[in-house]
Amino acid sequence: MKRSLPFFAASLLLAASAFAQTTINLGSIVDAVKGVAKSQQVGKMSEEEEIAVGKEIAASTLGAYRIVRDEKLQRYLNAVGLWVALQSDRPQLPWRFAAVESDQINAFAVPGGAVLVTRGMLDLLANEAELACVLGHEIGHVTRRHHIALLQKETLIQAGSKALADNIQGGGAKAEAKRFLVGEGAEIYTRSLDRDSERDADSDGVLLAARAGYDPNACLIFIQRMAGLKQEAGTLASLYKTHPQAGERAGDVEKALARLEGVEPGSGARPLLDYK
Amino acid sequence: MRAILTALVLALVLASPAAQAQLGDIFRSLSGALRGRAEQPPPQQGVTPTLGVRGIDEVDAAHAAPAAGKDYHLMEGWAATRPEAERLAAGKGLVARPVTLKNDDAPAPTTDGGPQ
Repeated sequence: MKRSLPFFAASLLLAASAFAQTTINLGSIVDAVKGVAKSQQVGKMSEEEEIAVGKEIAASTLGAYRIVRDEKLQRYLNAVGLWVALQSDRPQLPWRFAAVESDQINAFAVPGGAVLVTRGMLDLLANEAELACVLGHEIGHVTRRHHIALLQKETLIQAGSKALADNIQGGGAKAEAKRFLVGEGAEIYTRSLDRDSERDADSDGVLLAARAGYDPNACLIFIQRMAGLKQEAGTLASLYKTHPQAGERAGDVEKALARLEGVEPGSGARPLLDYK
Repeated sequence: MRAILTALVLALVLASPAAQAQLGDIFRSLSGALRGRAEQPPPQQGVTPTLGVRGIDEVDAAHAAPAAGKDYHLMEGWAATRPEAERLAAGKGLVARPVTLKNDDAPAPTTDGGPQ
């Protein structure tokens, strides 16, 4: 008994010190995560921050997809895109549009106002009204900050994990969170937004095309054409990883068309595409 | 020996999950040291966010690099101005319309484009 007392005391001290150390760290960890949570609420991220983050993301994305070196096409895309974006409730954003080299049929929106469209998508479009629908859909994601909300949710999770590991304090958490927002790797963006976000963006595509003077029925015709494409086609792979099936979306677009007010059914222009 | 083990078990049970994790790390480090092996850092957990671009292919994203400055500047250089956008619209006979969606609070645009 006497001989075991020192060992017993040593064990107690070891356990106690580990516990005490952890108690102190836990408090500061909770503060750090709360700080990130406060700074990352969607409504509180300033437009300036959103644009700054978006610029970094766009620059990084263009490392993955090469921009199409066709000035005429690019300027045309920007003129159409901006015309459609001017009909949104955030016309003041620095809207930028770019065609990128990829056979995939897809388009991407970046927070803050950049929209990328693949060559594969541009080749599938039949007229400028359909282009307006596609761009309007992506513009809708930006104006509604869908990506920011998703990024912030992931950032909070990551900040929490990292804070537990590194015990990040106070103001440093916001800078850390911003680093995560730009980040490296794109796994979160190879997944889809939720169904409601996609439905909202499809409605926005219809609405913005109609406001811009295009025939909004072009949106339905385009979606139906996509639904008719063979899904085994490799060019649709990235689209269907991140979007609902075109058949489902056709239903959403039909509902949005039925809800339009201030436009006669079938009215609006379907101009030819300048690049075809 | 029994007393030592009891004390350790009690400490583990009463500690918070984070403390348990730390205690686990301490034991692993100790056992690693006793075995003469270098302790490996815990594996990275969770998903690495993000480029913020929905729809990008994983393979392509893995090659995404922040140094695509030239392409980014090209994109910036091709950006349209409002007069250019309006000129395109006028050339195509497009007229902005005050359209809304029923049961939607979004403001309708002015006739020169943009919301009221």
